[in-house]
Amino acid sequence: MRGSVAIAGIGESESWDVAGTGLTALDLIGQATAAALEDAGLRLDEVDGLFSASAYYGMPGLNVGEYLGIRPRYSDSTNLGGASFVSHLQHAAAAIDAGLCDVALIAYGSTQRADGGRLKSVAESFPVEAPYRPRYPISQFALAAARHMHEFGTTREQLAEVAVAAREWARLDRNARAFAREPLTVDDVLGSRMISTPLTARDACLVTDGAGALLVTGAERAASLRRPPALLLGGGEAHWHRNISQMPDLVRTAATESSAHAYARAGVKPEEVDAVEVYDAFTICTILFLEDLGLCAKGEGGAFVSGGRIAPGGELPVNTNGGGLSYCHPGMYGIFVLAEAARRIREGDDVVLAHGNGAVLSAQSTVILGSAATA
Amino acid sequence: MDAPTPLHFQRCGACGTLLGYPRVLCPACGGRDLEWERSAGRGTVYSATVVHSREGSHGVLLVDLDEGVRVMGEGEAPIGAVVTAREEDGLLRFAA
Repeated sequence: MRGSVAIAGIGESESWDVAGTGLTALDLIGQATAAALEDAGLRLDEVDGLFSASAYYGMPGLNVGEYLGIRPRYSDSTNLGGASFVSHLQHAAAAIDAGLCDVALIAYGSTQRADGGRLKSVAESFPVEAPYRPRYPISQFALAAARHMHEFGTTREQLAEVAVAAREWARLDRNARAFAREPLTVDDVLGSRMISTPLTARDACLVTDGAGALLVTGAERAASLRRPPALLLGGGEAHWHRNISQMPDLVRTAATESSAHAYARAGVKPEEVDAVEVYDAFTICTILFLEDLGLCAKGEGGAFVSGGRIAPGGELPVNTNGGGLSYCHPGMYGIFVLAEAARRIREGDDVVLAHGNGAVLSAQSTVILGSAATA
Repeated sequence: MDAPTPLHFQRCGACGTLLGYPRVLCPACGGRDLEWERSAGRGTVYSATVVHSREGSHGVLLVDLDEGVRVMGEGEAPIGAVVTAREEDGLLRFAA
């Protein structure tokens, strides 16, 4: 229901690089959860709903519940890859609205960097693609990027502009926690190591460790807690394929459907959005999602992201913490689009859109958060 | 379930859909009447990438076969190019 629940607590792990510390993904979830509880002014024993997805734990609700001492009366380990957490928020809202839980914890953590940097993934081998050795997942996104360039004249420079804008956000004093803050130019991106044409190492997200935790509760209760609530105005989720060869159109994602539901349920139009947080696993993602979220016309994403228009001081703030390209990317980034969107609401934005992507442009999940003034 | 060859696809007897990979029902209509059909192997490149690694580089294509199904295959060709498949070691290799 519109505005019935809110993100009341935000927490992140203390570091994005835990090599040599012996800390596990669960330890990092513990750090993030402690921070979120402190942030909201809630106690661990008040948490009665648990939402988690993981590449480390096959039954993450059980691992996280045991580690934190939570005995949830509502538990949901939906795994839609990186889109999971944006879906968890929507599922938590449904559970809270139905009276099935009162305080939901959404938690995710990974030690991908400390583990050697290889993407830990639950992705299975797909027999009609695997023999051709696409490098999962970058080649799948590269195929979408190549098709976007072919259909719309999008250039590698425009892709690079996405990474440069993200870095400029990460370099702001506000984002001192961002993992990558050294200057980055379009030439740096173009000249970096080619991995799967047209995408280079700098078109790809970071490899970090880390965790995020969010506390979600009813709007009334959230209003009595420490921080301004970030209300869930509306959301939507959609998926049309799992494997890239089965994606009907590589330049039109199911974000068109997830966002249409989100806008309708929130009663918000794209032009009313103050800031946008999208899962930027690769530079092409930001371009595709800005189009599919209705923030620019199909095919115009490349021009839209150029000339600093999504960078600090530009027309539309996009990925205002630096995103997966510069802030952090511990295996999956989806929980952090929510954390950043809620922070923007606390800092004065009225309407912020957060969008998660799962697998290879497969799962799409959109939410629109609002301030108390919008509810 | 495996296809007899990489160029064999199932066609749904109920709705005519050609399936992207072997199944026991048609994902378009739920039909169970599926018949194998062999593609002539001609198609158009839908998208293309070249994967670079320490071992060298190799091309990966998505090809829209003329019969109306999209497949992944090996090869290097520009988007829009008309290509023909060869089957080698059970794999599809595409060339102009």
